Amino acid sequence: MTTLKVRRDSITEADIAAERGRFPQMFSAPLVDRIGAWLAWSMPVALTLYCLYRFGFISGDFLHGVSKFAAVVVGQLFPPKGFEQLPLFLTVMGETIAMAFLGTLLGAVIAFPLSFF
Amino acid sequence: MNHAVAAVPKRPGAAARFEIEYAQYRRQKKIYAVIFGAAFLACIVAAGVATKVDLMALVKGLPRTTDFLAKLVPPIALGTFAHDMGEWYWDIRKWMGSLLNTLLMAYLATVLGTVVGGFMSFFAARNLARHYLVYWLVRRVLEVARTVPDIVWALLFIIAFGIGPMAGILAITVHTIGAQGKLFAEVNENSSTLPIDGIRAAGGNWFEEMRFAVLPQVTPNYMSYTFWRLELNVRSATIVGFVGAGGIGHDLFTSIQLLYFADAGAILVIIVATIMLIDMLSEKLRHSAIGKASFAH
Repeated sequence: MTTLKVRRDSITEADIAAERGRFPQMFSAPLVDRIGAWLAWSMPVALTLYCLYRFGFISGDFLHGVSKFAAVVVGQLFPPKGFEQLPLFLTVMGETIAMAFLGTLLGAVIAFPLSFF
Repeated sequence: MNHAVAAVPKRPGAAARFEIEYAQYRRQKKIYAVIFGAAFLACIVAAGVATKVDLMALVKGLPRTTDFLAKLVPPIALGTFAHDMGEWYWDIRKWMGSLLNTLLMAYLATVLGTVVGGFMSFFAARNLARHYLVYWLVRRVLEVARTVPDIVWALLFIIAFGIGPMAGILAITVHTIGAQGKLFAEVNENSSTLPIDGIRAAGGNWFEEMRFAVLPQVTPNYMSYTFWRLELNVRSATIVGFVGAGGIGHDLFTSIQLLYFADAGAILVIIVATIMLIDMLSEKLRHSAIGKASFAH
């Protein structure tokens, strides 16, 4: 990443300081606003931290669970086996798509007149 | 006037030619419509055959649905209304506690999912990603996270983390990462690249481009999607509770298993009322977020 060198012949540091004095809000938000923003953000963050604590994410159990996930779940899901049942899987996949199609169709047909009310 | 007309080469029968071409166009459209209609009907019939739709069974079974609905509500007399409602909601303390759990589960899952999904969305946007391979990989990962159903993730996490809200939160978080990542990526792709060029011209790196050029444009849409996701996640938290992952869904499932249908009805009313409230709140918040954006332009 090369830094861009700007030739500042016409604007001097004194000019910038003068502008900063005239329009401070163009350079940084006023302190009141910044404190307000920090306070506003701290509430959801505090709630998040409380939830993490309440549901047990900050404990050894969680790390134990992560290792168990890696070992049991990921270890047993891969490599995928059982492809001799592929025709059955494809049949029920077709059934699933048919369910979705008919459900969407019926739902749309019934919702369409309702949408005018 | 005559010589002016003779100077322009007049093409005879222009109107007639238009009529012929228009008729041909209409005919072609009609043929396509017929073909499409026939294919659509064929799809309906195929779907009906595949799912073994039996209209007689539907007609016979329809009255039985009211049986189940009647069991959900215990006998409530107008004279002793307050007492009967108290009886129906006998365990309301536990259910309100579970409801609070469910709402907190949804909140935490939304926050975690949005943060991670939002971060990944900058790599999944075609105009922002720097290498096509990264873009492709992140998109596929988000798709896997999104299309595996919540319940399946919940079952996998229950194997690892045991029964309880943690598995449910992780399941909803993974799904939220996928969904938010995709939605945010689309918002990113719709954002204007002009500010990005401006930041780059002023000497900013990729991170500064994202922070100062893209983020201000996309934040209102992000907020809207996040509130919507929070509402959806409350529903997901209820569903995920069905497999034991905590919250009021677990209470609902237990009461159905134990055949305490009146309890199930009470819990269902609580769930529906909560979803309605969140829906109304969420709509107000979302529209105020989008409203600010449309006025900004």
